[in-house]
Amino acid sequence: MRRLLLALSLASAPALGASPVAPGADPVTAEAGQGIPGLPPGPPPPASQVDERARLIALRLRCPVCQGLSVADSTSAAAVTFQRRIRELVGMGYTQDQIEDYFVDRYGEFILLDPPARGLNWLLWVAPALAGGVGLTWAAMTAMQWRKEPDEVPLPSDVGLVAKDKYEQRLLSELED
Amino acid sequence: MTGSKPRVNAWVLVLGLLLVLPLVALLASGFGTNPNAIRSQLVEREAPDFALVDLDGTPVQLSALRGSPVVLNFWSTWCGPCKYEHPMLLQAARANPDVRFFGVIYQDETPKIRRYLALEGSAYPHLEDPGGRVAIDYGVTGVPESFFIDRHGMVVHKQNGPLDPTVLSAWLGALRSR
Repeated sequence: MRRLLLALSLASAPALGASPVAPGADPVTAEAGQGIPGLPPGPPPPASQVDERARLIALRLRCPVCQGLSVADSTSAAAVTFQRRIRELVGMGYTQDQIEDYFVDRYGEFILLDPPARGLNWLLWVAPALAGGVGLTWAAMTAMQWRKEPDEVPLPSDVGLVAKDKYEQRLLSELED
Repeated sequence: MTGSKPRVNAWVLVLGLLLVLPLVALLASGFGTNPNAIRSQLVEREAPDFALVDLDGTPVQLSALRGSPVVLNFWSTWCGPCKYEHPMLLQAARANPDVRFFGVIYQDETPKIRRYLALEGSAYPHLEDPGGRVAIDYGVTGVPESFFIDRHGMVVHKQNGPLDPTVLSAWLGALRSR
């Protein structure tokens, strides 16, 4: 019945972004579906699964007023509003993709904690791996160079060093020992 | 003392520059932008419709207001900058009767809103947004945020943070010219 009401209300909307509130529709249900395009593809999940599904989505969205926190991990007013809205949409049967697309549509890709790997975003995914690869290659080459170098350092007498004064003489003799 | 010149490996230099220069360019470009300002996705798009109720119980539907420019101001009583811009919005609403001003209450309690408006005055309807659905629909991240919507229902500008008289006047002018 809820889906039927929602379908009727959305069908009456003249364009994307128009109000799905239809005359005679259950205002609570109609308002809950407000803004998000499309219809839930299936029946709502069991009530026992709603919180967990909503939490998984909230973990992937960025709290817009925090520094690097997910919506699930924040207690800010904005994050709490997001959590409530996500739970509401999950409870209506909207999928994770639909809900994420809705938030991206309104806030931009900024709202995703993991930016999708396309366009310039590729840099974010490739650069760390590239930097790691370069670092490992450098470390491996340096280690190989060390292995090539002789373990024993030649003695001063081997290279014909001659002391110029008594202090250098003492230093050289200590090195020879 | 005879110093030998340090050897510079050309490949290391080139590779280093290839890695470092784009990073420096990226960081340099960031100096000119406010990291906390999220660009609105709605500018030059149709404003999301809503059906809300004001504090007097009068329903307001955005799509029914086509033909008039609209200013939507998301605000709350716990927000200091909202209080700063309140008198300016009152004055602007009174001085521009052809523009429809609306306050949208963001995460606040109705009695507090009523008390505040009784003290500070009100010149336009203030809409309750249960669950913050409309705020999310508009991509609101905090308050105050204001949306300037032209007579065709298109979002012309989103103001993050408080308005000042010059900005408000400029965008009201832009609304009228469309």
